[in-house]
Amino acid sequence: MSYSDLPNDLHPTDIAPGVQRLDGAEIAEGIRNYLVGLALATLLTIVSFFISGTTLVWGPSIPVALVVLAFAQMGVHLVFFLHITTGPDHVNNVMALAFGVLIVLLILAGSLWIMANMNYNLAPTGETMQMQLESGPEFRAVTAIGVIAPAATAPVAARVPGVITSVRCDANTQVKAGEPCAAIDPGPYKIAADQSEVGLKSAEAQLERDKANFAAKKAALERQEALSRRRAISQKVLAMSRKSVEAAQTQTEQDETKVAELKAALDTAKTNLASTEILSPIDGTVVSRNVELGQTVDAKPETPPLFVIATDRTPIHIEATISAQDSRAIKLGTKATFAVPAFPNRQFSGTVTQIRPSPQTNEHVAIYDVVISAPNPDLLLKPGMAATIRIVKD
Amino acid sequence: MTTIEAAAGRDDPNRLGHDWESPYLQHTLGHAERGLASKRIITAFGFWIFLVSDIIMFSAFFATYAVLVGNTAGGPSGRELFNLPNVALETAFLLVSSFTCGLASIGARAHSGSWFYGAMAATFILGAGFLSIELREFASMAARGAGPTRSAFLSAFFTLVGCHGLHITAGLLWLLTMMAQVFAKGYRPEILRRMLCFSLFWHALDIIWVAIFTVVYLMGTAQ
Repeated sequence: MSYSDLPNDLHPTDIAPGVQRLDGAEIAEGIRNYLVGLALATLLTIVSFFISGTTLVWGPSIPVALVVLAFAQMGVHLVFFLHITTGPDHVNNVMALAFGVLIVLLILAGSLWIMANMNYNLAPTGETMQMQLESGPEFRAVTAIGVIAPAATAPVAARVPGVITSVRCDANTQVKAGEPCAAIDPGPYKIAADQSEVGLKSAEAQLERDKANFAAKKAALERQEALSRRRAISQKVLAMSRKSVEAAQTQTEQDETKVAELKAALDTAKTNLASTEILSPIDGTVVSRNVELGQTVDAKPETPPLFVIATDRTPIHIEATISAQDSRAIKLGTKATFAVPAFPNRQFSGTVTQIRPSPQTNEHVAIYDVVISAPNPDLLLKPGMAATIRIVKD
Repeated sequence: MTTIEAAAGRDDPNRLGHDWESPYLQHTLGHAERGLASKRIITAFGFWIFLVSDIIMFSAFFATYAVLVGNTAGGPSGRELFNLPNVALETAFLLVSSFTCGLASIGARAHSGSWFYGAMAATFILGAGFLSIELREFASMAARGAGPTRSAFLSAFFTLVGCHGLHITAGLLWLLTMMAQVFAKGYRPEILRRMLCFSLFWHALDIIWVAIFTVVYLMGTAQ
C-alpha cells in the first residue's frame, strides 16, 4: 500500500513533509530507508562523541568538527527520517525550512555578535596602579587597585648555616605544620654532636675516677685522724692527708662542672643537628621560595627567609592607596567591594581595617595606604592577584 | 484534471490567464495554481511550519545558552557536571526511538496492527527511558547544589535542556493518545494525518537533541 493510493490524495505530485514516496515501491524499501538513516546517524554520533574526548586532533578544531558533524547528522535526519529532499515536489517544505534556518542563523549569530561586542566594551580598561575618583556628585565611590596578600605569613629561615642538600617545598606547595621543607647537610653537625658525646663520656669517666679517689682519700684521712688521737702519727702527716683530700674534692667539683658544660654542649650540638631539617611552622601554602639545592645558607638575621608560608583559611589583605581628599570619607570599617580578573563575574566584599597615617607625598599630592581585609572562605583569592577595589563613601 | 481544479480554473468567469488544457502549462504551473492541495498535504505543511517555528524558539534558547555559558558565578562548569556516558545513552535511546517511530508510521500506513502497536510501544519505552535518565541527571545536579538558581550558566542550561525534556514529555503523551485513537477508530484518514504529524514532531525532537548534545554536552566537555 502506498500513499498515492489513499483516497484523500488529489495530487500525487505534491508531497507533504515526512511522507515517503512509495509509488509502487515495497514497504521494505521504506524500512531500508530508515535503516540507512539509523546507521548513518549512529556513525555520526559515535564520531562526534569520539572527537570530543580525543587528543588526536588539534584542540581548536574540535568545536568546528563537532558543528560540521551535527549539521551532517541533522541532514541525515531530514533526508532519511523526515524525507525532505531537494526534488521539485518538496519546494514548499524546503522553502519553509530554509526560511526557518535563516531566522535561526540570524538569532544565533546576532546574539553572539552583539553580546561579544558588549562584553568587549564593558571590559575593564588598563591596569594603572593609580587611584581614580569617579567624577560627579552622584558617584560617591572611590576606586583603587591593589594586590592581594595573605593576612598572615610565616617566614622560614635557616637556624644553622650549611649547604642545602634537599628542597621539598616550592611555591604553591601545601604544607602541614612540622612538615620538612628543606634540609641542610647534617654531616658537620653530626660530627660535632658525636665529639661532644665522646667528650662527655670521658669527662664522666674522669668524674667517676676522681670521685673514687676522693672517697679513698677521705677514708684514709678518717683512719689517720683516729690514729692521731692515739698519737700514733704526726700532725704533719695528718695535715698532708687533709690537703690531698681537699685537692681531691676540688678536682671532683671541677669534673662535675666540666660534665655539666659538656652536657650543655651536647644539647646544643643535638639541637643544631635537628635544626638541619627545616620544618614548616604552620599549616599553609608556600608563597615564595628563595633557596636552591646546593646553596650555602647562613643563619644571620639579615638573610632573607628561605621560604614564606601563608596560612590557609585566613582572611586576605589588600593594600591600596587613596588620595588625601578621599581619605576623609573613608573610615575604619567602611565596606569595600572588589573584583579580581580571575573571577570576572564575581564580586567580593571586605572592610577597611587600616588607614596608615603617614602619607606618601608624590608631587605635592599626599596619598595614604589603606588596608582592606576580606574573608576568603572558599580560597578563591590567591596572593598576588590584582584587585580592583570600589569603596562607597557615606 | 479534477473537479476541484475545474472549479478553481475553468469556471473562473474572468478566465484569469491560463489555458488549463495546454500540456505545456501542466508542467510549468506553480503549485498554488493547480488548485487546492489535499487535506493531508495542507495539514502536514502547517505542522511543518509549526515545527520550524518551534526550532526558531529553541534557537533563542541556544543563543541564550551560548552567551551565558561562561557565567558560572564561581559555581561548577559543564566540564565538572556533565556525564558523557549518560548523554551517549540518552542519545542512543532517542535515535533508536526515532527509528522505531518511523517503523510505526510505516506500520500505520500498512494498516498492520501488531507492527504499529509494537513500534509505538518501543518508541514510548525508549522515550521514557531518555526522560528518566534526564530527570535523574537534573536531580543529581540539584542535589550537588548546581540547580537552576546557582548561576546564569545553569539557568540557561536548565531552560534549554528542560524545554527539550518538556517537548519529549508532551510527545510521549501524544504517542499514547495516538495508540488509543488507532485502537478506537482504526486507520481512518484523519488518524493517519495525526500520526504523520506525530512522527514529524518526534523526528524534529531528535534533530534538536543532536544540537543539544553537540553544543551543550560535547562542546562543554571537549578537551
